[in-house]
Order: sequence, then structure tokens, then C-alpha cells
Amino acid sequence: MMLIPCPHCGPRPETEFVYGGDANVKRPDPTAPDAEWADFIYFRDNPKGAHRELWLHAAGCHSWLTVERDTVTHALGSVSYTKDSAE
Amino acid sequence: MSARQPNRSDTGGWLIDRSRVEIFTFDGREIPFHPGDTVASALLAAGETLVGRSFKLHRPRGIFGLGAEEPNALLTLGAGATLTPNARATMIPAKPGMQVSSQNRWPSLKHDAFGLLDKVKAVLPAGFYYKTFMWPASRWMTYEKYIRRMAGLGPAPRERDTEQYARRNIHCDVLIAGGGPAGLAAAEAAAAKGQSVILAHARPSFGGGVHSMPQGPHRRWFRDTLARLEAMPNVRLMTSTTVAGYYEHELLTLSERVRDRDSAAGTAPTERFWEVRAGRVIIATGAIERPLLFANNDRPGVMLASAAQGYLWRFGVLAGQAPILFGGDDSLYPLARALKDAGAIVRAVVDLRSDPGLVAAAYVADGGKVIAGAMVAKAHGTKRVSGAEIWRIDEGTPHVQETIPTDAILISGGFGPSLQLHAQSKGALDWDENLGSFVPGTPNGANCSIGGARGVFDLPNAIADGVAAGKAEPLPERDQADRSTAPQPWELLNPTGGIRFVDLQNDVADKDIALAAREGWHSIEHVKRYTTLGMGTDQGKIAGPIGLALLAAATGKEVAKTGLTTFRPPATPVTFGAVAGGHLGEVGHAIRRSAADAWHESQNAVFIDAGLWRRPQYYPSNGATLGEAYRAEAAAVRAGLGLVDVSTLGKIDLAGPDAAKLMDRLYCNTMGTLKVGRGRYGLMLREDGRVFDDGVVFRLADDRFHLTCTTGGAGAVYQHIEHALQVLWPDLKAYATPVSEEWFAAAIAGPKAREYLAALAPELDVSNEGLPMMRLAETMIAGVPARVMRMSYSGELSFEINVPADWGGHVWAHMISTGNSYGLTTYGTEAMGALRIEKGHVTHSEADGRTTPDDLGLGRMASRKKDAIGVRALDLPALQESGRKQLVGLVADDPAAAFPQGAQVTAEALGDQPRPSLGHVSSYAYSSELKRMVALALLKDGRALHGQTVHVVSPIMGVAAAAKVTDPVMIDPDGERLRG
Repeated sequence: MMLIPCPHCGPRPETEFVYGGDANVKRPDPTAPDAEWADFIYFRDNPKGAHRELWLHAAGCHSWLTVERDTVTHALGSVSYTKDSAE
Repeated sequence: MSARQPNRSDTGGWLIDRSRVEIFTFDGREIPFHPGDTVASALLAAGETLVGRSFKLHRPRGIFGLGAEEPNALLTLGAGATLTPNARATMIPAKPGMQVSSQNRWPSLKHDAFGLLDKVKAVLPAGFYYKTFMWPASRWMTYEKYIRRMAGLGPAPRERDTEQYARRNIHCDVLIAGGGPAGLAAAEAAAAKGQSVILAHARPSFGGGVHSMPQGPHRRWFRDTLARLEAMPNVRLMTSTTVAGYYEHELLTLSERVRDRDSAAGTAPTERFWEVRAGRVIIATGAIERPLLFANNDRPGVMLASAAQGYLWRFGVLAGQAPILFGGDDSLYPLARALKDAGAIVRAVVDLRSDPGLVAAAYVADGGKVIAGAMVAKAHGTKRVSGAEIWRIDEGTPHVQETIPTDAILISGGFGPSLQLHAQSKGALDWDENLGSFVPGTPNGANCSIGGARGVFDLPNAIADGVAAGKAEPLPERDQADRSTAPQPWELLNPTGGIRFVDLQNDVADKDIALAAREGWHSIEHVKRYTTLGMGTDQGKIAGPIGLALLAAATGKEVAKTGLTTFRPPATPVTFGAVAGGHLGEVGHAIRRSAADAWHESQNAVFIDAGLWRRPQYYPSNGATLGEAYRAEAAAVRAGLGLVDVSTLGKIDLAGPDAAKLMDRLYCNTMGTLKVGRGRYGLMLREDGRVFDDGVVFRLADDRFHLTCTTGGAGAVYQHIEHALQVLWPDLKAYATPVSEEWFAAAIAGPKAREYLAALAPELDVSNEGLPMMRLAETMIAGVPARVMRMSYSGELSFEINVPADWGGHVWAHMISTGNSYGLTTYGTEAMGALRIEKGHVTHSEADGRTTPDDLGLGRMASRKKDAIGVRALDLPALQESGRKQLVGLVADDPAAAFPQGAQVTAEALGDQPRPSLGHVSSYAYSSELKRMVALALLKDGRALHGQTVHVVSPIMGVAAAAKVTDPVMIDPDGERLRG
């Protein structure tokens, strides 16, 4: 079970979090064509190795976090508030 | 030696107290033992060679190993409430009065009726069940119960476990798995650095391999090291504790056996399950000896040589009075001498090497018999080995040399590291050609394997490993063992053609693996499942490496490239009780209770789980059975006045300057235009256009909304809103606060609802003009500030009253007493369901994650004038196609007809022929209004079927009923009652 360093609460076990999927996915503009929307809704990369992903600290501070995780080793890189990483 | 312990020797016995003799029973027979014995060592000492029947073929089996790797000696401990099946005799300390039974035999171990199966092994090849019993599919039900009776392990306990279990969580700097020489050395070195150390050892006493050796300076080293560790405050020594699982980021699970079942309870639990978060992990779990293959290598009396060595030195027990040793390296000779010194007649050492070298020569010079360049090709005997057929393999064609009478064949195919924990942590595995074994490669995470667990098998180097690992220094270079000239275990010939078992626990033979390969199963993961290789409770600790090498040979691949199967926790079996800990029965999970829960309970309400909440399903005072009660409750609402506790509904407070903007993005319908004090029904969608949740929203102020959502959806809806606020649109200024537990909520419904409300809230204008539909008013009820919201779920004139939760019990009591003069009936979820089904209101049975607003007949709610989550997807072509399931009502033709659970809907009545399904029933109830069963159903293009007759069928339950397709709103379609 992973230990995720929540920037607000400190290191907490994975069971306190809810997985939120690929953090690189961007919601298209409503006027974008069907294909772009279908890609956003249905298709996700399944990388072996480095992955940027969303986790919600649901049993803690309720922050959505952007977490760098290696999908093979589960080694974690940076963990930050998603809110702050918006463009 | 005594008559009752014929195999007890005066030699060795480091772990036993010879001054005392105790008794336990095995299948009712008394077995004497010394304190310190395991059940296995005591059975061996008593001459009990036959201890079980094999899983599939019911072949007689004896004790094969010394520890957790034991595949055969699975026994049942205790009876009744404290029965434990499948305990490994090798790991269970013998205790006075213990009741031990053999398994998988009937009527008795010695005379087993299913032993006949062994005679027909030819018809039970790999994959037999898959090939033979799968067609016709309907017959599987018939075969299955017989197969389950024949093949199996111990019986599951029938009674509730009366023992206590506990769970603990703990942190440490270093967790060391395995308290043998390497682990002890590591613990001392790490503790000396000031680190907090947990040393976990599966046995009741530390020492491991130290106890499998004769007298020597290492015994003193062991005693001194242990004494120093015991004196260190930063070391937690845990015996009888197995490290079962290694999870991400150094979380490990430990199963600690605190005391025996049935023993005096006191305050201690039977077992403790530990979750340990360690800074780093040192894996010192030792090595496992590999077997050698020959015909009938599963007969009782065939045993790993290292096990025989362990039984001698640890327990003073001889594996046999006249053993043969069989292997391919020098380790056989000291054991042969030790057994001889202990009183055994060693018949011969059969050495696979044609030129065994100096150690063997010295043994011969001292009068020992060595047969070099030879192999044991077959064991004779059935319930016990009676002889070994020796074949020469070093000169020309293999040929029979001789058959030697013997009662034990002690085999050694070399050692391989115990890889379980390293592999569970997802560390790499490297193939070591010289050892003929996988060894730990690059670790994943903060861990290292030391001693036998990394292929370092001698004592000084194992201790050196431990010291280095404890100090967190690089491990010494591992000596590269010279490759033995002996063939590997899987390279041995089978000149007699008899059955050779690879996996003793699951009765998998070498030819099963060859057959699987011929049939096209080339991945070890597939072969495992097809043949059941390594799928037993021993996790293939012995069988795995051999089976893998056989598959590699059969498919012409290198062993290194064939790879091992995935190692999963637990490394050794853990009882369910230990995992569950104290989380049993009422405290199995938290229960949320409404503020009126005590009142519901006082009325003997029958409760039903709704998420974490419990809600009254019905009140038996309204009818004896569920069916009677809910029909009466629903009828009372339609005819007069009903009251229901709806506290469990999710409630979220949304506030901020951008709250209205956010509302428009969360709901598919328009919310931003809602006026203060008014309410609106809303639908939330997922981004893929499917309905996510629904509920009524009230606007409390320009910048503040009160959202309601379903009981079960409340948590997910809150997460969804936070996602919108933090991930999608962090620029929006708004805050969401879950307030479900802040409010106690009750709904009053029925023609008398207004009259009743007037009595409850005398200060409130309850007229249709003063409080129209979807309007919120604030007032006082029973001296408590209350919100009154006019809305209707039941379809009747209805109001929902919210008060602060702490006052809920008080207000509810007031409502009950006030209601007496209005003929008030309390109702539960079942009646509420019947009322909403009649009105076509959806729940998650209809909004099941597959349906769009249009599917539910709510398509017009989705506004295209704004961007909202899920609305864009509604325009994708797939959601526009015909043939989608649409929500309809179904009304039974026959007032006496019953709708079955889980029903499908067909156009024609069921006959002998299968009928295509038009769709399924999502909810059904008896309509007290229409006096017959009604249902909501999702039918293909269902709205085009209005007026047609269909059939509600359940072939499994043998029920079918004709019904008319209608609009989902089955009563009062114009809503006159709720607006009245």
C-alpha cells in the first residue's frame, strides 16, 4: 500500500485517497469536434513507467493532488495541489 | 528410544525438553511428545508415517519438509468452533491435549475409498475438469458437488469462531523477516546504530538453521546474540510471527500466533495481524531445498534431506531407521554420518555424480556405502517406502543396479533462495546458472535479501551478510558456487516410466506439464492454471522452480526466459480471523443512524442498509410481513397522511460568488436562473453523458445553494464537485461543504399534509399561495428553527422538514404526537419505493450508469445553451442511435400476478423456445392504487411500445406475467394531487 505525501496532511496511506485518472487529460472546449470529445471521454494512455495522475485525499483534507508515479515500481515523484498546477 | 517414540534418538534435540513427555491425539490415537516438538516431529518420532491423502488422487502421503514449504502434512486442529483446517504439521507446536485429525480421507486414513482414483490416474490428466465436465454446461451443477467431495482439503468450520483476534499498526526503521543467523546478525547491527528494529520469525524460537547443525561454536554465538538483542530497548522480537505480505512502499503484513486456540483465553487474542510500515526491509527468510524426481517420489518416507537433518538436530528424531540418501553434492555425507551416529542404518548414499570426489571417498573409507553415477529411479511400497530401485546412469544405457530395502529416501536437489517477499515487492529475479535457481536481482523499494534468501548458504557468509545489511552497507560479493556435475532435478531420466510428482500438494506430475505444453500452453501462468501447478496452500514453494524448468524443457526455451509466476501475498496462509481482527458482526463496519433511530428501534422497525446508514424498511406494526406492511403504509399515504425519515439523503451546501456559475456546469439543466427561496429538480451527468445523480436544489441566497443528492451517491457527488472546483475550473470562486449529517429531515405526504403542517408550524402560511410547489420557507417547529420545503417524491401533497440534527429526535417525537389526531402513519423505504415507482421517479436502479437523460424520458432537461459536465457527450452519434433502452411503466394485466425478482421482458410468453429480451425490469412494487403489480422497466425503444402487452419473465424462477407498457408515470399524470 503506497504512502502518499499529501502537501497538507503529510504522508498518508493510499486507502485514504481516491484515484482520479490521468492528470494530463484536458477537457476540450464544448465546440470541439466529436472525435476530440470521444478521445477525451473514452481513451487513456496506459504507460509503463512515468505517469502524472490525480488523487483525491478523500479521507483527509479533500485536496485533489497531482502525483507523479511510476506504474511499474510505484515510486512517487512530485506531489502538488492540482489547483495550483492549472495553466 | 522408547516403544511409543521408536524414531526418537538420543542425538540432537536442541529445541526439545526431553525431561517432560506430554500427549496429543492424532485421529484419536495418543501421540507422546516433548515440549518444543512440532506436530510433525512428534508424529515422526511416534512412527506415524502416513499423515494425509493427496488433494486429487487420494494417494497416501507423509511428512516431506521441515517448515512452511510442507506440501503434504496438512491437518485439522480442534473441532467445532475452534476447528482450524489445513494447518501445516511442520509449523504447529505440539501442545498437550491438542486434537489433530487427518484430512481428505474417508472413511479412514488407512482405508480411503477414493484411493481408487489413483488407479485411474490415466483418465485424470491435466485440464481434465475443463475438458470433461464443461459440457453440457447445465450438468456442471451435478458434477460439481461430487468433485468437491472427492478433491479437497480440510473441512471448513461449521460453527462461529469463538476466538478473539486483534489487528495492530506499527512503524519501525528496519523490519527483518526471518530470525535465523543472518536475520539475528542484521538485527544486532541495525539496533547498534540506534534504529528501531522488528525481528519477525515464523517459529516459536529464533535460530533457524543454527538448530539444524551439530554442537559447535555457532550455538554459543546464537545464545549470546539473542541475549544481547533481548536487552536492547529498540528491538522488538516477535516469534511465531510470519511475514505474509510485502506491499508498496514497505508496508508489510505479519501474522502473529499469540496463543493456542482452545487454551486459556485470558485477555490475549489467539492471533494478531500486524501492518508494519518500515523504513527498510531485510529479507532473511532462508532457502528451500529442491526435490528430485523419480517414480513414486510422493510415497510416505520420501523426504527432503534438509528436513531429515532438521528433525535430527532440532528434535532428535530419525526420519527412518534405514534411510537411503539421494542427491548430487557433498552435503549428503555429513548427514549420512550424523544419522548413522544417531542410530540409523544408512543403507546407501546414491550420488548422481560419477566421480563424487574426496568427501565421498572418505565416507567409503569409513565403511559407508556409496553408489556413484546412479539414481533412485523408483520407490517401492505404498503406505510407506519399502525399497528404492537404483539405476546406473553413468555407463552406456541406463540399467537397473539393484533394489535396496529402505524405509526413507532422503533427497537433495540443491537449494534455491526463498524468493516470496523479494518477488512480492516486485524486485527483479535473476537466473543463476550455477545454482540452477532464480536469485533476487535488483530490488524494488528499500529492501535487500541476505543469507540463504539470496543464495548464500553457509553460516559465516550468511552472518557477514546480516552484519552488512544491518549497518545498511553494501553486501559482500556472493561466492559463485561451482556448478555441480550432477544433472539438475528436472534433467533426470524416468527409466521405469512411473508417475513422478512435481507438485505434491496438487498432484501435478511431470507428464501433466509436458501434456500442457503439447496442448499449446506455453506461458507459465497458463500452465499453472491449467495443471494447478503451485496453486496449493504451499504456493508451490517446492514445486514452482521444478515445474518451470520442465516447461522450459518441453517448449525448448531457456528457464531464465520462461520466467516465474507472479508471487502474491500471503507467502504462507493467514487465517481469515486474523485478517478480520475485531471487525466482526456489529462492529464490522460503522453504522450511521438518523436522529430518530432510537424511535424507529422502539417501534421494532425492520432496518435496511443504505450506504453506511441504516433506515427503516418497514414498521411491523403496520403489517406482519414486509409485503403486508409496505402495502398498508403506501395506501395510508395516498389516503391520508404519512411520515418518513429522509435524513440519509445527501446534502451539500455550495457557496461563493461563482456558485451559480458552478451550478450550471454541474447540472445538465439550468440552475443559475433559479430565484432565491425556490427549488428545482436537477440531473447531474458524468462526462460521458450518463446520469450520475439527481436531487432537488434550493437557492438560499444569491451566492448560496442547498443541494440534495441520493443517499448512496452523496460521497461521490461531493468528490465530483471538488473535482470541478479544483481540477476543471479552479478559477471559479465557490466552496462546497457536505452537510448531510447537519440536518435531520422528515417528509410528510398525503392529502392531509397541509392541515398537519399547519398544526406543526403555526407561524407558517401553509396555503397554496403562501407556500407553492418548490418553495422553501423558514419557521419554528416544536421550538426549533426549521426549513420547510414543498416538494413531492410520493406524488402526494408533500413537505420536507429539515431541522438541525441534534434536535431531530425532539422534533420527530413532536411530529409523532401531533400526528395522532390526523391518523399519521410512519412509513419506511419499501413503501417510499412503491410510491415513487407509481410516479415514475428514478433511482440508481434506473440511473444505473448506462442511461442518459433521454433514456429516462428526461432528455428535455439537458440544456444546450451552456457548458455543463456530460452535455456535450449527448450529441455523440452513439447516444443518438435507435435501439437504446428507454424507461417505461409496466402494469400487470392480472391483479393476482406476481413480478419476479431480476425479471427480463419479452414480447411473447415463454414457451419451449428462447425468446429475445426487450429489456429488463429495474424496479417493481405492488401498487395500492392500481391494486396490482407495477414496475419500471428499461426496454429497447420502449416509448414506442406504450399500450402493447409484454411479458415479465424469469425463467430461473419459473415465473411469467403479462403486463401493459405505459408511461412511467402510472398515476395522476398531471400532478394534480401534489399541486393541490
